[in-house]
Amino acid sequence: MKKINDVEKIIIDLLIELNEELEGNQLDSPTKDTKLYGGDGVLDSMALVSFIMDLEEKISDEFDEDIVLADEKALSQRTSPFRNVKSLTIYIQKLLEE
Amino acid sequence: MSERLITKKIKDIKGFNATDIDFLIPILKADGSKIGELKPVNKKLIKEVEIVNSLTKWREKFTRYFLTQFQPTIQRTVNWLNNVVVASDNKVLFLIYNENNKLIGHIGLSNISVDSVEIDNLVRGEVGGDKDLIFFSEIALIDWVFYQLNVPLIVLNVFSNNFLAINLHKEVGFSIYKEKELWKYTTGNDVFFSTNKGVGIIAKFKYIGMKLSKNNKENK
Repeated sequence: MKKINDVEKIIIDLLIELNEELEGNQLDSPTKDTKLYGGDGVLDSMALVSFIMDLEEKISDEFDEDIVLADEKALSQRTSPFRNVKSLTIYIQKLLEE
Repeated sequence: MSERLITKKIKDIKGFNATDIDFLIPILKADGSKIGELKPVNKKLIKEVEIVNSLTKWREKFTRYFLTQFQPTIQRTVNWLNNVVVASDNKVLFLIYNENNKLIGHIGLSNISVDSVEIDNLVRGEVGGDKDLIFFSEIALIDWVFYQLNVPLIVLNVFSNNFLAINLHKEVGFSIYKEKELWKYTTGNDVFFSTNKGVGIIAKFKYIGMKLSKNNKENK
């Protein structure tokens, strides 16, 4: 349980960092329900690629484990892990447990 | 447009003709509002340190999606910009700026001929600007190719594991027309991928070819 909270915190902290670089306020107070990609998500495809790479690096630093988030495995999921913070947290948690 | 005129146009926008040194392509949303600009890397921009630094940083960050994977350096970027990007008659690299003139990323054209061009080097290096900036950057470039260069076909290649880029290209209108195995080769610290089978090891992903013709775009 500790790990899942840690993962969620890493994602939210990264979104806060991202918001500081953004010129708008799309990510003012990210939560587990913040939508990331698709529909009214805050990131476009290429911004998500960049976000994912930063996230992989932070996960590696924090847990000393290298995971790949954007690959065919992610694509094959019934629902996209990149919909929101919660779905991405669960997906990362699963990868860390493998 | 003839091969000669296309070559002249490409050289002009890269600053070989001083009157076109400030050439740009506006990036417009569907409602016509301007959200940014595409500026070709030319003899003037190539001297800007900030640009070279950004390109080097992004090449390192996104290296996993390139056929050649190496440790980028400022000097290597400068050499590539001078000797390949600006020097080649059939290649252009456009820098993507948002509406506040912040450098956001880049998108390139290569293998430019009267029959087809290839889109390459698409990167969003920074956040900022309109959420659909990259989508409309690609649209702006496609329109320029079809209606200013008068080239009727655009192709591109992307790794199969880069599904977010594949999604973007599909949204723009591209469709997949080929899929090839890739072989991975290692030389010292450098890695490169090729569709030519040799002594390399087979890669875990494939090389996806996508295309969009002027006719297909107009019929959508």
